Amino acid sequence: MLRINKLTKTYSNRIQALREVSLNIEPGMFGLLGPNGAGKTTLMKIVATLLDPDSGTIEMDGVDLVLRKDKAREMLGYLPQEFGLYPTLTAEQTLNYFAKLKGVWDAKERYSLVEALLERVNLSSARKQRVGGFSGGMRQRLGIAQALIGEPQLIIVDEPTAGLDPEERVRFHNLLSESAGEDTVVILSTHIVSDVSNLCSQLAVIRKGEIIATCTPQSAIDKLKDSVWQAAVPREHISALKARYQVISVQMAGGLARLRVISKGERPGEEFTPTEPALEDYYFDLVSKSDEALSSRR
Amino acid sequence: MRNLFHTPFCAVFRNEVLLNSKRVAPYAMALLCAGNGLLWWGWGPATGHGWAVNADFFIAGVLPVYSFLTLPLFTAAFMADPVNRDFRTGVDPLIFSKPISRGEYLLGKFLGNFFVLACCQSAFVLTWFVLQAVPKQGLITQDWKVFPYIKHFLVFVVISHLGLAAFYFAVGVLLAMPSSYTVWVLVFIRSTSLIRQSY
Repeated sequence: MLRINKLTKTYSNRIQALREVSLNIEPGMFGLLGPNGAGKTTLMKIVATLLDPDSGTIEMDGVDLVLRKDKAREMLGYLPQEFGLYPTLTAEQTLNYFAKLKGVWDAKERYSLVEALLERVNLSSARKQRVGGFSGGMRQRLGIAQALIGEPQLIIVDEPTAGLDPEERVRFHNLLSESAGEDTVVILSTHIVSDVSNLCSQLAVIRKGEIIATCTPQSAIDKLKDSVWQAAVPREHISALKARYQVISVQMAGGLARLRVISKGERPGEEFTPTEPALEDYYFDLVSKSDEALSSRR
Repeated sequence: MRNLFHTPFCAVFRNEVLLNSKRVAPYAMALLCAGNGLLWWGWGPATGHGWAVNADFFIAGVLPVYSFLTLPLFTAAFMADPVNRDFRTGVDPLIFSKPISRGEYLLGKFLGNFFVLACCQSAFVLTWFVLQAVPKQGLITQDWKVFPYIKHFLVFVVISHLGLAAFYFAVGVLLAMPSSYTVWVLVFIRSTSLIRQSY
């Protein structure tokens, strides 16, 4: 189990990226949701030992990850949001290098590990190909392969599907869910709600450096049961509805606006029909409530 | 006892050698050094003065000139960039999330690149060593020699450039790449003007 306790981080430009963040994460896939600039990457970097917090602790199976960085890195697999690879090395040479850094010294063991990883991420046929010629999806798969070296107990993937085409995204989702073993904690940090709803058994929402919710995707959806409505209305009605109800999404189709609205206990209008809530509804509802709370605090 | 070959330092060292083996610059530098050696051998001061081209004093006399007039620019190009390159490429978070200390990483980077640099520099003496077997009119060659080449190369090129390489490497790590070149150019201009003044 990963325990994050009262983690705080303020950058030198006085931007407070994290404010007393506390999380208890059980083995399995954990989704960290939040808009851009919410503090997700800062939190991931701190857990990945690449950044020091101002205060707070992170503990994994009795090991303090802030103080024992060497030990932490042995149990860690990290795929950052933005990363590069040596363009002139082949996929095989790249994994070989990272396997050595991870402490896999036996040449035969390393060879079979690299082969197995390339097979797992579907890059076997590209093993002798230079990484510089890889597509975005191939690079991302090689990235997750290096994160899986040494059977890490903690895998952190930061915005892994941004920029991937739908096919690569599904392939990447499958890879991630296969990687989450019984004793492995996989943290998926993203702003794409569907990634979390497809993959994660637990989630937390972070907003302006604060955790504003922790739950399971199902319990989040259950909270909005019988509260989500949809309708196709003329464009002119949108502003009036926005003033009265919480509008989750607006999509223009055939001259009408398809609205998704949250309204607890009250039907917003005759044209509205109840619909099944989705995790996205919960997320948008939560984020807008958090914005309202923040603006009323000011 | 910990096996040196089973350390992150050794992994970084070997990876640097591998990365350099895929670049054009080391081969170009080795060719330039070999060409330089060829010119010093057949058309250098030995021909005019009637010195033997494989004489100990001739090797000891030419190598410092070769070392300090032509090589510092190459040393800067090789040694100032490796760490910056990792940060520019963005491979650094993948490396530093593995169990490797900054000291091991920097030492591996430094010695890996210095090893490649020394190999390229050695093209000069290797050319001279091979050319002992080539007769040329007006050129005196003594009996076949091995030791003076190794000895003077180690002293005048490898060891003397180790300090220079460490300086460029440190500057390259601490500053952005263009700045380290600027520092080098300033040091070069200042040192050459001081040499001129001393004559």
